[in-house]
Amino acid sequence: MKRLALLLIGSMMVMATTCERPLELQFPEASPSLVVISNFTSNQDLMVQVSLSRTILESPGIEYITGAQVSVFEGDQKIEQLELVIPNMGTPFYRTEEFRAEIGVEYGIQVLVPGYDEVMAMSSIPEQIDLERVNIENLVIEKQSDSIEAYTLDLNVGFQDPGNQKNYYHLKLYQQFERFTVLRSDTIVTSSSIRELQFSAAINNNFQVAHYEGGILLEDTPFDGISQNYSFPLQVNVAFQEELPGQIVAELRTVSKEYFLFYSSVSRQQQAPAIPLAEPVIIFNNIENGRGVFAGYAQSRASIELGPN
Amino acid sequence: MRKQILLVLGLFFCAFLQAQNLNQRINIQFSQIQLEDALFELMDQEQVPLLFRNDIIPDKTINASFNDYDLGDILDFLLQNTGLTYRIAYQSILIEKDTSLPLQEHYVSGRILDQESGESIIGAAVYLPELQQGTYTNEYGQFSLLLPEGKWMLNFSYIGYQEQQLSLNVQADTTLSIDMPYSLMLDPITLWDTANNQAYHTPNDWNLEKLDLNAINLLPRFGGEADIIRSTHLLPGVQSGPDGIGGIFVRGGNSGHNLITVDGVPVYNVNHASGLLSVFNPDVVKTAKFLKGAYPARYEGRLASVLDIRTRDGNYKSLSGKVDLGLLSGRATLEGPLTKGDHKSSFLIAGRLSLVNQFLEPRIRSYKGTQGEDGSSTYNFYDLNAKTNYQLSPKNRLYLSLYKGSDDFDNFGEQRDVFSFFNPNTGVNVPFRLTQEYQEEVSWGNDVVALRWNSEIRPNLFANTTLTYSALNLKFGYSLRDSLLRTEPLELLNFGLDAGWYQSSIEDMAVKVDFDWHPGMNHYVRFGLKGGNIRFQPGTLQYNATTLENAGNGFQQNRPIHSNEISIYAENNQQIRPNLSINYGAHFSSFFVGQEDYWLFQPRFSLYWQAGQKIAFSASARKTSQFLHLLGSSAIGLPTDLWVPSTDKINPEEAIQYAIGTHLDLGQKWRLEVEAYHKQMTNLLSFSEGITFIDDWETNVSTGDGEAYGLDISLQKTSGATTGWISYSYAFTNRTFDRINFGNTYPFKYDRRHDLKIAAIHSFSDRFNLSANFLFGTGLAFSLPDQNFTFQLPGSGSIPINVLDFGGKNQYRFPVYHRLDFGANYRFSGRGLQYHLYAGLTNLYDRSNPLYYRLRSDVGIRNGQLTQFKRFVGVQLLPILPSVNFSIKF
Repeated sequence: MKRLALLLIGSMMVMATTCERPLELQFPEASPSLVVISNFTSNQDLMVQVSLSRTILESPGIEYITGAQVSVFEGDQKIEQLELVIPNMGTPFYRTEEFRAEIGVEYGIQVLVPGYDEVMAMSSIPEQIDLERVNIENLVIEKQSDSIEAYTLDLNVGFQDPGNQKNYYHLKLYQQFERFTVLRSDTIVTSSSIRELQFSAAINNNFQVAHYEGGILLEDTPFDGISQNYSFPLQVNVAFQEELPGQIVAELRTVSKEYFLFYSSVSRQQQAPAIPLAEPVIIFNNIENGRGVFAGYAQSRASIELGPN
Repeated sequence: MRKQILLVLGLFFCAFLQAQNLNQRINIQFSQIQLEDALFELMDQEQVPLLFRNDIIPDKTINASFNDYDLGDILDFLLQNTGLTYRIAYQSILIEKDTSLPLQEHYVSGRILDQESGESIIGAAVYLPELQQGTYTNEYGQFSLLLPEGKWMLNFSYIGYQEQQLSLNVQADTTLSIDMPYSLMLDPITLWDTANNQAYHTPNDWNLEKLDLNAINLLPRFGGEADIIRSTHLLPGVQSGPDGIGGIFVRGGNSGHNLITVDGVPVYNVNHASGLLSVFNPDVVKTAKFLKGAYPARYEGRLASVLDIRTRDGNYKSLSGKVDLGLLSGRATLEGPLTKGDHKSSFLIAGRLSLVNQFLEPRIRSYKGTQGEDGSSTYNFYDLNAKTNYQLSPKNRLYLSLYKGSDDFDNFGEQRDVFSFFNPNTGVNVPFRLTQEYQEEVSWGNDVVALRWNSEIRPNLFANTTLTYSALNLKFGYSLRDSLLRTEPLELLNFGLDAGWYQSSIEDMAVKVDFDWHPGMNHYVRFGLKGGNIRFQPGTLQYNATTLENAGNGFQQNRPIHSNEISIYAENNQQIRPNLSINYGAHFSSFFVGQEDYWLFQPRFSLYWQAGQKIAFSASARKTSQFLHLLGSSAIGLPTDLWVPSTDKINPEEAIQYAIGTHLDLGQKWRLEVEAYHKQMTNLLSFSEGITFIDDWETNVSTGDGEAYGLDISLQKTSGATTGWISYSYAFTNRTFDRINFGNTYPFKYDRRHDLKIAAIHSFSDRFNLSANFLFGTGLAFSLPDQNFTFQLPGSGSIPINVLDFGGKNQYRFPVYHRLDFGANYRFSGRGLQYHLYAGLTNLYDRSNPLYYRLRSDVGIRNGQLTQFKRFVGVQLLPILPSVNFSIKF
């Protein structure tokens, strides 16, 4: 539907575009700054990616910083300096070896890179809220073709939102698939994979945003202190001759405000129509002297088997 | 002359006759004659030496017979209830005013009319030099004065008309009809005229600015089209987007914060072509009042300003018309009496049709051709005004006015690509044709109807009962077709169709009664009530994947909302001392929507203090609230902007404004006005970030506050061969929304720190003049992505995404806006026709004022390699543009 807005506004700008002519613009060019990205949770390594921003006139591409000094603090006390990790696949990042974050403790991160201002950010992991219910209703399995079976169902997910406090959530849903072969009438699972459920931006509102990577971001303003039950109508297509539907996994992240604001703004910007006259989506930033996000979250998971049994 | 001679005769008698005995017995008969004549008969027939000033003798019919009555009894009878008495003096009987009685007052009321057409004149001044007081005509040309008995000189004046004088002996309630001849010679050229520009002022109108249509016609015009809305851009404190795009923005308000009415009916979309032109045909506009400071309680709540436009009634005396041809539109107006000769009725019908498509369509077709498309865009608009009125009785008149206007925009194109693949199995090329077609149709328009009964209940009490209807409709249909065809052998491999229909509307129906009461000299009371229903359909979408015509089995996105409103108001305008006037009142509104009821009290107060002969001060405070909100999803005020109501979750917007000002007469030709203001706005409504009109508005809006303060200065030269003004505003305005810019305060887009406007007209003769205006202002605030970055969650293996980082909202400024326009007017007449030729240039020195920026990618060679270059491209709307307009009036 965003396309509709794009069409209308865009087509009406055709008239103006015919008058387009390059103008010499003298906007102050912002110098590149450090971009720090880190989500952290309890009982996991703290991982931080450090890169450089680019001027808007430059082509996309990432310039990772591998010579940074990245440290984690609790109050004024430095806890650990992170080590650079350069994986074979993926991008370089910094990681703690000993440090494990705790819920409710505010941590700081410091990034020092020669030639750039010192970068600082603070965040903490909010109290964990557990999923109370994950169940399936109205499951119907229908053969769509010779190779595909469609599992149509309502997935119910519930949790209790604590009252009198501001809470933010990231609810993620995964479907597990197990590839199999049949050997002497035995079904042998050869590999397993999960796919994350993507929500349409059509569901977006002030308190609910489809995360660009999957799942939805929720703000508890409309339901503060109220038990929440979500029912998601799903259809899972299974190539039944090659794979079996595995578990449906629901992950509830109780996220910090900075987590919610950064990812909701990024998600909104990704989904907004690219119209010059549209009001822009401003990206949240809690990195002092830099850009990006340093945000804690807590997570709980629950799963339920999807299948004829 | 006759009365003066008779007075001398009276004195002649008294010089030769002896003193009379009031007991003298007299026989006399008066048969249906005036009192004055009766007195003369007494002198003639009975030799009674009466002495009187005949101008104090009221109109009174005498029908009586006296047989052997005392002279005293006869005089008592004749003079009863006249306020006159008699006594023996100078050997005569002197008739004089009875000073023992309180001085009686009578109403002098009436209408002031254009002599040529018979149309009422709004805002004409009625002035009594002896008292140094006066009044103005109301919206129907009516006035009322309460005057002591006696002889008074009344002056009647209005811009562009020859001043009229009338000597009036007030002895009873009197109704006047004053015809004023129009005079081109006497045109004072001033775009706006504040009440204190007059030789006096009333407490009624010092806050308003009357836009002078004559000046608007003479000043430079965009495309040759005189325009009411664009003319407001030249006033201090009024902002607009680049080159007038987007409407008007007054003292920190947005475009939905202006109450714009035609004949008292609100108009919800006032723009053609996003504000390059307004929907108001200049040929039908009689007056336009603009208020941005304190406005009286009679105006219902809007946070920023009021533009009160009144249309002409039509010619009551003869058939007349006007034909007008410009680069942007052609207009025709016909008007005349419904019944010739009775001067009781008139009609006016006027139409305007755009001509802009003649220039636009080929240009866009050419542009699309450069993009590899076969297509174009068309844009047309029209508007139609019709008005008629009929005098039911001398005190009752019925008006019916209609407006219908529409804009239609079509955009269509087709792109074909022919390509082939080599099939290694067959060893031949297989040709394909990919066709993409699109078509979009957008139309939007207003319908406005008003049926009004105007009545004079008493000489000092006027009433208007009005039924109103105002609607705005937007319709948008689109279709996209893709097909992939293998041409040899012919086979349709793929076909896709995407079609949809979007519409939104607002319908406003109301009945209201307004009273205009003049209880005494320089004392005005207005009060009234209104009840109405507004139906909102803030956007529905139907979708069909087969055909555009049958797009009916989709879904409805937004719920229709019905609301009801009841409001009452009362205001008191009074000159409490000779140099001090006050205006106070309140507008009380209630709004019922769903299960929610809102009750809002909006007090208004202002005062005007004439501290000296050439200096005056004013102060005002007002609270305004509005239940209607305009949501825009773009920065330039497209027709897709939605009118939405307050609901149980969305409170009415409110503003409190304080202002103080001074007014200085700098000699006879110059006047200086300065006003400082502060406005605090709460519960403002806006789309949350990333939201467009297509989304569900109710769950995607953000509420916030706004603040505006500043100083508006205007220096006006009001007479002489060269007239005009310089206005300057120094202003600040900002916004704080909970879901925009993360709750941080940011500059409002129209936060222009400095805003200078100069307008001048130089008249070389009655026929020929030159005009120019110059605008210079701080660039508008906007958001520019100064950086971008790509990120990937560390260790996650997720796909890197690119993010545009704007820093904060509206942190950048467009370049300084400036533009010089020039116009020339030549007026002549012949064979009973009046001609007006206008020629001008908009943006004389071709200043590139960008409308918006976009990022453009070009490919070039750098260091021997093919490289992509990016740069910001400013899109300019108005380069230097010539304009011509020619009109013939008959």
